[in-house]
Amino acid sequence: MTQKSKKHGKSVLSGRSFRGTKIGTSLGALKEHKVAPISTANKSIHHVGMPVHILTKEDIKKEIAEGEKRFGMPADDFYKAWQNGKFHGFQAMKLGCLYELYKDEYE
Amino acid sequence: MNIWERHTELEGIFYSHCQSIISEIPTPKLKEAHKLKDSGSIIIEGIKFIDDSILNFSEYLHVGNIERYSYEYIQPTGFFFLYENEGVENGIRKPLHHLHVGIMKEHADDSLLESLPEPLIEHKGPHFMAPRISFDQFMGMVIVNFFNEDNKNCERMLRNLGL
Repeated sequence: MTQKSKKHGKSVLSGRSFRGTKIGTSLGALKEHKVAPISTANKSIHHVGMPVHILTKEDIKKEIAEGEKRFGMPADDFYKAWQNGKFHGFQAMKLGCLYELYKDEYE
Repeated sequence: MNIWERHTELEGIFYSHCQSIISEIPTPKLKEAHKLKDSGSIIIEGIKFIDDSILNFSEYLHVGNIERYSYEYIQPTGFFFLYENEGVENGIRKPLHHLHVGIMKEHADDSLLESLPEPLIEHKGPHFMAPRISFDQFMGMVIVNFFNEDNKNCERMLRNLGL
């Protein structure tokens, strides 16, 4: 199962040129584009392109460390407890999934 | 679908379809899995709407499919609802796709918290069984319930989301 924007049955931007480039080129540009959060005075964003931050190994370690602090236990213990339904919510899932991702990718 | 294609879809949702109700989008955090094709995660925390409500978004793709998701909407009062599939199921106690509704301590005022029954605080209430939900549908629910004053704009956003 995939979730897709349903307009015209496909991605709103896929298969189209975007800001004068093909999507492949556009994505390459996005990878390099790490600007700060966008906020405008009139409280409405403009279409300037969504930046992206690619998480490195160190970033994930940092996210996991922040999660350990939040939940007050080592990530290994947290993960077992989360799997057993002891923790709930957005932050719990984020930590559980990043922990899995780290294990899968780097260990 | 890979995480870059999904990122592009989300860009369409936030920067085109729903741009009139969003005031701030933090930089999305992406991690592409290298050992598994079309897998990885997208996390965007603290997307701000024009009324100062907040959206937290995360999706975890596994071989091209959105295997897990967490979509959380929080109002300045602390009222929140969260649809998620953590990939962990425990029968009726914790259905795979479920909904949490309550008040977030971090955002709520103390007098409100004192008067609330325990199950309404944070995620202490039930895991309400829910259908699988797409992010487009989630955004649609936010729009029709909290950004419906400008009916024309509301309908336009729903149309753009394919709802």
